[in-house]
Amino acid sequence: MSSDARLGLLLAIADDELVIGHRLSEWTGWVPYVEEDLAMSSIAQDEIGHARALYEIAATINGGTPDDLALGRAMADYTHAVICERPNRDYAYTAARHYLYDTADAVRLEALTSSTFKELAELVRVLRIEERYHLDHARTWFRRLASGPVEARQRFSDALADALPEAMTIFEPLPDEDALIADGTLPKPGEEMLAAWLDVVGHDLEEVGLERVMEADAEAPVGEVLPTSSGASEVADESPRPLRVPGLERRDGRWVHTAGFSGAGGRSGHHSEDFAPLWEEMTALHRAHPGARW
Amino acid sequence: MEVWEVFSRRTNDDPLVHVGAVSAPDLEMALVLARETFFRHGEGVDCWVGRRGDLHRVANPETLGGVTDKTYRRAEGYTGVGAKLKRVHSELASRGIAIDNPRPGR
Amino acid sequence: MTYEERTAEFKARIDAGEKIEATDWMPDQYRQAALKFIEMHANSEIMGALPEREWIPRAPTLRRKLSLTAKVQDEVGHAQILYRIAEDLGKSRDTMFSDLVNGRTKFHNVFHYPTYSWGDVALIGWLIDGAALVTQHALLGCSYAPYVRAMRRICAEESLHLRHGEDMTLELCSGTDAQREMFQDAVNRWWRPIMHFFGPPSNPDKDVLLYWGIKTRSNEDLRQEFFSTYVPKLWDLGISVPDADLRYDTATQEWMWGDPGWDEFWEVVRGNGPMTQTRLQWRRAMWDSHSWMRDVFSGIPRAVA
Repeated sequence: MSSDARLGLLLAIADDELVIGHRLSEWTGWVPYVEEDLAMSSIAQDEIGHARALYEIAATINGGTPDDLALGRAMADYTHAVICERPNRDYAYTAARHYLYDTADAVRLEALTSSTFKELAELVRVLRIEERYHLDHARTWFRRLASGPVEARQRFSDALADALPEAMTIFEPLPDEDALIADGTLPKPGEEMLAAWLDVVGHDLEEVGLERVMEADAEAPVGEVLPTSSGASEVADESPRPLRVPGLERRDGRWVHTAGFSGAGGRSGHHSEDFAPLWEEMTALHRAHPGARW
Repeated sequence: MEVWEVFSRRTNDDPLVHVGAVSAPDLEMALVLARETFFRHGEGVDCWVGRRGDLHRVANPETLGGVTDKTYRRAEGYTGVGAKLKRVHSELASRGIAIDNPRPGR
Repeated sequence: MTYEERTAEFKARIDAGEKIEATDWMPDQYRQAALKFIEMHANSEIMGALPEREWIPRAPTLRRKLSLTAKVQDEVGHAQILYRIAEDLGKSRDTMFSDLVNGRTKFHNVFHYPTYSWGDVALIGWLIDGAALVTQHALLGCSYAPYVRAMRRICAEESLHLRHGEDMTLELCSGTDAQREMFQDAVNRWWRPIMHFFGPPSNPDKDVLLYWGIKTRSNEDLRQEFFSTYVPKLWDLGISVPDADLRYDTATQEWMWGDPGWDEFWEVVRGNGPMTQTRLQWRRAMWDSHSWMRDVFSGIPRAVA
């Protein structure tokens, strides 16, 4: 088994956790509901802590320290999904992204409990204990906002519709997915996990009468995702096409995706315009003093 | 929003004690938020919440335990027993009443 | 009993060292003094989160990122506890927040200043929290029991922050030249605000808070304790204090210190500190933009079929 493929898997998950943990930690100190500030801060710390634990395993393969991996890599070497790097906006978007990410992470972690990669499977069993509380928290807010006053429900459902296609990219297949599946490191392919997740999310949304969130992605042709901002219309032949996520439809009472992913996104190091400033802020001090102790 | 009082058990051998309160709109939110408000440093092994409105303080707490002499049923009423033990032993020994058979320990 | 008689009896209880509970009778002057003091403390905790939270995204290692997040989380937790007990004295949390972000109530001077480097983060964690801990230990003798209980928890958490702050400081002072410079530069900028933090030398006889037993020690007493605890430690690290007059007089057994000037202090009290308006504006913007979230919890009656 190529340890490179396993390293790639570890880094992808660790990068997801680090980047979303970084975003969530930006709320600490100014959530407009003091007790919720405390709860969200613990979730952010958990995510960063989970990233650290994953980087620790990765460091045994790659060499170096967890900090080298977390804070010392070039921008294009990070392989998190785009949903993680998006700014927090307001608490409705944050709650929407939190729900989508944690439900997706739950599907991923459940699959990984039977990974043939023993150290990862053992760690995942521990992570799931904390993730359960993240899910409880995310679901509590989901219910409160979706069934809340007019403006809360509107903001929350708009945010879900906006975030859903980008959350799907959590299941963008890794470049080495075939090898990881072949030896059981990855027990389920990205598309199968995507299907399981869409089923959960579709069901949750229907329970609160927010099918329109799924329908928004179904009506539009497959979403073009990232990178954005350069405005270049001519793309060099060698550079990969931006990632496109599958469309959605309702079939036999369940929400399903209608095609596979195409192009290349976060899992190949292609990020949106939001990652550059995040990476700069997160890594600048560490990189400015190589080898220093803090 | 309501005030929910929060109770914690430090270890399994300890009673439930009051640790503070959270403001929350309902029980579900109160339970979710109490965890990180009062337990994030591992302060306890159990957490209970209750609506403030359901908790009531007794009137005149300064009279708890009564106000007339109750030393007959408290430890401070029996502080002299140790000294009495020594005195009685020594008195009975000097009267030759004590039975000096072999015994463990000494 | 007349109001005056009840008040005199109340004062006698406090002087005898008895503690007051939220549900006890209180003279209006006591209730107002306690509320104002606790409210300002709560305001300071929530505003104190702002200078430090700027460094969470920029922390140089994962461990520091986590511990700084946890520390700021604790400050928010302190605000939660303090607003809760202030509410029980008779002012709603929403009104207290609104008064704070609209500049009608105050928060401690040190939280009106900007941070420039990781040196500031270490300094805040060690010397500012150290200064706060000196004053907070003194509050453990307060006459208002709910505040005493809150202070026990707060002091325990601040002690941990202090160790964390000291840990960061030690790394900087034993690190590269650039790191030592970072910390010395922070001390040079923060020393005067720290002196101001303890307040001007005051007249204990005229202090309403001392009268009611809400405060138990004078400003100067606390400042002297701060000097004794931290100046020798700074000197041991080879870090100088930017006060040429600072010295310990072994004869009188007290620290002599240079007058830092108090104009800046009064400007800050009036709401004109370097970061006062910026920070209040951030909080005001967050408050205004999330009124929809307050509606979620306000218990709007729902029509039931």
